[in-house]
Amino acid sequence: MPVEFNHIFFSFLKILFILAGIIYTVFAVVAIRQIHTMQKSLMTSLSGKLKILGYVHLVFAILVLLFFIVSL
Amino acid sequence: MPDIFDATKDRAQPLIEKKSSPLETVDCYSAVMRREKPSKNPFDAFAPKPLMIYTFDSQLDGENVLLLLRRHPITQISKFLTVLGMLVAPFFFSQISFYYLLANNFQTAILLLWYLIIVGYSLESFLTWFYNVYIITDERIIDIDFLSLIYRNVSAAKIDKVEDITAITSGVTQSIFDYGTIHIQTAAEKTEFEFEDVPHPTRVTQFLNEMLVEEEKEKLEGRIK
Repeated sequence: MPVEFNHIFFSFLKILFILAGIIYTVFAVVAIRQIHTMQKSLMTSLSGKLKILGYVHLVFAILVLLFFIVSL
Repeated sequence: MPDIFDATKDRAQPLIEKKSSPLETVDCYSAVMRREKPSKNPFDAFAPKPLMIYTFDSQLDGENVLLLLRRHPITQISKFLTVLGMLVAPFFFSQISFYYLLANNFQTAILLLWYLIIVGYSLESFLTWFYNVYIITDERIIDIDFLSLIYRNVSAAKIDKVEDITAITSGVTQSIFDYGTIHIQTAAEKTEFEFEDVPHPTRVTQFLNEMLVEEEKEKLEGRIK
């Protein structure tokens, strides 16, 4: 019984982590879209670097999501 | 003997007087701008005559940014402290007995998600601060608001539509760090502009008044665009 409970509990936890990862990845995509919109509104010397920062952030979000799917 | 025409003498003098740039022109009528050095730092919250190429989407031909303002960095201290607190928090995870009941990969997952949330929060806070700007050009005042990642509001009014300017500095921190809110009443579609928590509100107000006087002069001289 406890073994079965553990299995159900950790499966549930894994689904929660994957959901959180998906939501975060969507947030990272929205952040990139927003950086584009913000740069249209105001162009500064940092525009290129911020765009790269947005993409690096998205890559990390995807890697973490993959970690949740594969290793949990 | 009469002088013979010498073309080299004429060549030495410029045929057309060099036109001064708009950033030099502002120094002629603004005592505030004369005192300020051009800003080279893209993170400046008070950026007079910014040398970094600042353009914005509703910019008119020949319109130049004379002053760019952001919220004073001290107003972001609460967010900075929140991030610091969140960075330190994982060291106290060990105090929660439940944390050690989890398998190692779940512990790593919690840490990863936690740090990702910190990065997301920091990025969102920085972008909102960096792109939430107030611009004073030689023609207009522009208020670009990004209250969150999905809310954007851009308002503009011509300088000659400005009717009343009020600067409010209240509280200890605002007095110490010299920042405050400037209320600008206009006769434009948007009747009130609010430059929130901007540095040196007195200087900004003085500069806007100088701009108004210059606009009046231009009107009288028929130079207005």
